[in-house]
Amino acid sequence: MLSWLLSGIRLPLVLAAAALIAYALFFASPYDMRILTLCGIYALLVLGFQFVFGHAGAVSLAQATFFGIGGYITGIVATHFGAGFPVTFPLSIAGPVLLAVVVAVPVLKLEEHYFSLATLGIGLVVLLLAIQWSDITGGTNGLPGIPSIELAGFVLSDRRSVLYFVWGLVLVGCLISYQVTRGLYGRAFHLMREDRVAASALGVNIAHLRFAAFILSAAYGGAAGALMAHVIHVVSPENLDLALMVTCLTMTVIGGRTRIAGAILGSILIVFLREWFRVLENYYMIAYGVAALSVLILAPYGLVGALERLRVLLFGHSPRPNPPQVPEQAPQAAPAGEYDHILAARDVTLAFGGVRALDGVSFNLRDGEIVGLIGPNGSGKTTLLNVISGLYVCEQGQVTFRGQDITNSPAYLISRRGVARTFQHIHLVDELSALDNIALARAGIDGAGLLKSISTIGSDRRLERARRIALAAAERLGIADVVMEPCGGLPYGTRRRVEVARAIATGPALVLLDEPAAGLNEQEQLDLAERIKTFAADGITMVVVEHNLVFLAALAERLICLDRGKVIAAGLPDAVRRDPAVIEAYLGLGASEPLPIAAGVP
Amino acid sequence: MSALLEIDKLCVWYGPVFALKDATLSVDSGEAVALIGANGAGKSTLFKSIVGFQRPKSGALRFLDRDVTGLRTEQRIRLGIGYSPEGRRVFPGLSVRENLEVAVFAGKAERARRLDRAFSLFPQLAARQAALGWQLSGGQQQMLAIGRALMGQPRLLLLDEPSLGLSPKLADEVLAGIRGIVKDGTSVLLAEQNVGKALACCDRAYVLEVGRIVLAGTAATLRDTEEVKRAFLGG
Amino acid sequence: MITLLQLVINGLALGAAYALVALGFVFIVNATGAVNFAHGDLVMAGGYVAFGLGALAPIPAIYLLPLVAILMFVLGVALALLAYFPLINRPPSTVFISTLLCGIILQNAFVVLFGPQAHAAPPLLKSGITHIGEIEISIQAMGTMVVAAILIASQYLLFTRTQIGRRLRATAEDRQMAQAVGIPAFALIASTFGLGTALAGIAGALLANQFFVYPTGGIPLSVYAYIAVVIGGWGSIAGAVIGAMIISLFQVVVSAYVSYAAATGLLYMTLLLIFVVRPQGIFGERVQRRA
Repeated sequence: MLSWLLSGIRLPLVLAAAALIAYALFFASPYDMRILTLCGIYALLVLGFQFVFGHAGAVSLAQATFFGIGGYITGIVATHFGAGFPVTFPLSIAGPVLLAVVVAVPVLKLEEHYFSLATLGIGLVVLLLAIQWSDITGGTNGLPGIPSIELAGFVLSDRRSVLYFVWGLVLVGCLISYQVTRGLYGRAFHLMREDRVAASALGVNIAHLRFAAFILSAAYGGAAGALMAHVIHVVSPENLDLALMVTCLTMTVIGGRTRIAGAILGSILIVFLREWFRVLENYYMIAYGVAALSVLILAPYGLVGALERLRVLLFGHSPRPNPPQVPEQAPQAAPAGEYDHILAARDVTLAFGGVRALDGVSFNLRDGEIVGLIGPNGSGKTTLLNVISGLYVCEQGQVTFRGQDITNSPAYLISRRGVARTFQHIHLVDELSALDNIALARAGIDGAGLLKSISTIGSDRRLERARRIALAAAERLGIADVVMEPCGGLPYGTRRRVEVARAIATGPALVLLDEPAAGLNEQEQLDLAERIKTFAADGITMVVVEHNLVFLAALAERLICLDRGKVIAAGLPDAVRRDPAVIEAYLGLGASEPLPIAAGVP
Repeated sequence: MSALLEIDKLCVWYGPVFALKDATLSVDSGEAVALIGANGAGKSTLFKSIVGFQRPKSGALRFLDRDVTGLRTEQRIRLGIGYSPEGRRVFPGLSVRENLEVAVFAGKAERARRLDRAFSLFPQLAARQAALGWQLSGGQQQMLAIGRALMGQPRLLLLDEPSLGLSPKLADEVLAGIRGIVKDGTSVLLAEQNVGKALACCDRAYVLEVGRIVLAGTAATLRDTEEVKRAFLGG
Repeated sequence: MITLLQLVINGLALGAAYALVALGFVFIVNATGAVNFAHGDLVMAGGYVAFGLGALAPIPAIYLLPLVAILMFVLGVALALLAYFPLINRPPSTVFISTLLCGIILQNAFVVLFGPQAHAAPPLLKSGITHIGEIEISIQAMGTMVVAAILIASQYLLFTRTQIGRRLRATAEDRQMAQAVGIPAFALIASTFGLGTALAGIAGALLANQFFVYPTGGIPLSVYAYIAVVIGGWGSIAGAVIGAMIISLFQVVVSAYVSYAAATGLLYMTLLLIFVVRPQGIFGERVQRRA
């Protein structure tokens, strides 16, 4: 318990929370309590926003809209139908969630600015409706006279009880947030926002994650909006407009985009800044803007990030957690049925803007073989890997894996079926340890859904299992001793091995390695080649794209040579190396010298 | 004749870890010098310090007999340095032609002249003049990066790992071009992991290991040195 | 009874004004990648400057425009130093927010300096309406269209045909590498904000005669500029102009047949529909990465 408290900035945060609670209990005037209540409502709004903006990394501009819809539903149902809190509150959450579900399908497919604009557009349409439908919404003046919260016969009419109730709900919100982000499911978010491509290649269903984040943000927004309506007893278009969205964004970025404490700190700071500057009258918003801008510039990772940096500066890093005790081998996904070749490509063709990157590529792979894929730059090697792993879809032809057609399957599904890959440029999360990076491999395969994550009590068993599997993979790559170090500080050769370990941790039947030896010295190359051979001996088929023919010579049982999208030679390494077409296109004249043959290769 | 580039006891730190310790080397006009070492040895760090992407903790950095440590990147480049970085970094949304043009600070006629020279040096680029940077293959991007670095007619060309990701044939072509570049008046400082190829096209070389220069000498001498042979050339 | 042709002409006139607003916005996007959500407020600033100068010297705005442009250029550089450069290595959404905050500061500065009421700037040439056949169009609107056309063409030529334009694009794509080919990136970026703001200022000076300037008048303009640039395809000048025209045509033509609110609603529905069909915007490019 003590070690938990002392790690990171938990201790100062707990003390600050205690001070705030003491203040609220003993020293706060009714006005102060109202301010603190507003802080709580905004904290809830920001917590919701963090799912889509912080964790999923998408700039949604609809958060204020969800807030406003929640408020209006409460207002309309309470004043027009006289329903009480137990009816209006769930409806205020359901309404925004329903809207989110309806718009999610087209909107979540959009990228970056297009996504932001679409969410902004939705917000502006809703704002328009709120102003125009004055019969129902009260138009520009809004709906006054919304009653206080009444639960089980108790009316929360005084400010103190409202304060406790709102913050009680904020606590529930924090808990749900914590549950969602702490386990394996939460790790999938981290990977997705760091690197979409790697996440897909590891089986993370990005569409699902973004959808879940969007829905959660809507739910929280609606809840916060409903509470606001009960607290200030009126709902108006101000509850949905752009100014509120700007406030929400500001609070989130200033507090810390992905940190629960950040949501609370951000909302408290912004609300209090406005209060303090109110005395400046005409200049108050200018002062507020300047103050907020200063915090933004000085604490670019948010207040929580700044506090953590301060802690490291003053007290050094927190001690690292221990690695898991016992490794566990990754289970291999069972094949669906019988098959002749583990991978079969037939006439695969793909063009980019008129240039055929792949032109009628056909080949078969057998279980457990090691095949080298060589060819000049631009010949299509990486494109072929991308087609097999599902990042690209070929225009013609067919790709079959273990007897099943995967030509049109999305990347995450192909990964879950048993295809893993590495990339030319290393895609790792620098702040996480090597172990956690490797464990991310299980996020797509084992990661439970949203509901399961929320209801998990105690440590996340899936995360623990993922780490045990990661440890086993790390041992197979010989990096178990450095596995708890953050990836950013590891030397290049080790990072390469972490990436391969991550691929192995998915329990694949086929591994596609894209230039794994690039940047490794001779010793490291020999070591890697040996390890690749052990994987193949276990029955994993390996495809190795390489330019380093010395490395391949020790490894590959067969070679396939591509040139300008076509297979120009395939077969035993010696034969391919002597093929005149290969020499002409790829090896150059220096190829007439015999390559050094490593011991053990026939 | 003082050296083109003089580096004296350069120290670069990444946070608590040092990336370069007391690095001392020089490049004269009319020569090609190789920086050999495995990945992580510090080659790219050295280049980044020369160009100004990385600030050294201590040490002297002189180009054309001027202390450049206080100058911004673009000022150093304009003194006469060309930089082809690791990873090539061609401008993806600009065409091949625009990538080359953007690096020239001279009149229209001179620009056209240099463009012609670049295309004659790299005919493959001439054929794909209108292609955008991101559409090129790795080898074509490497040629573009080198061509772009030469457009300023620099006195010194910094070539960071040009053979990375290239087929053996292309790597040979690129490295063979170095002799020609030197003859045209641009000295070359080449960072390479492929030791054999590097020593074949350079006059001198420095060997970097974990941030320190452990060996220096002419290419011929180093080729015969036991350590180099064992560590890099496989005995 | 107002004819459809007249409505279309009115729509195009308004669209020219919106296009001018979007032009400065897309200039900064093309040269730095930054989304400046204070852009509308900068347009208002230009309007206020024109109003202020016009109060000092009641001459047609065409003579005041150069001074407006210069003053706004300085304001733009100041904005870059305040809201962009300190955050240059942060994720782009941080710059989004910093510009929003600068917008808030500007809006409230307007209230303090000029009061909350609306003001008007002097006309470009002269007030009044002229007729071309049966169509009537205000002289201000015509002047706006001419200025817009000139500036749009100039901006397009700048980016595609000149060395400066190439260097601006290179800086936007990879600032460090741009420096590594000798480009004075920071000076260019500051000039970009200056020029983009000068364009905003000119737009404001022209708009302030027909549509008044008031402290919060910039907010919808920022939204329109953003909509125009996204729907047109991020970074496309032609797309921004078309996007601006779409907005204005809905506001003028469609709203003549249904209510203004319904027209706005239809506009947003159309936008969402465009996204379904073309997620990258009208002229947007799907830049693929060769993984």
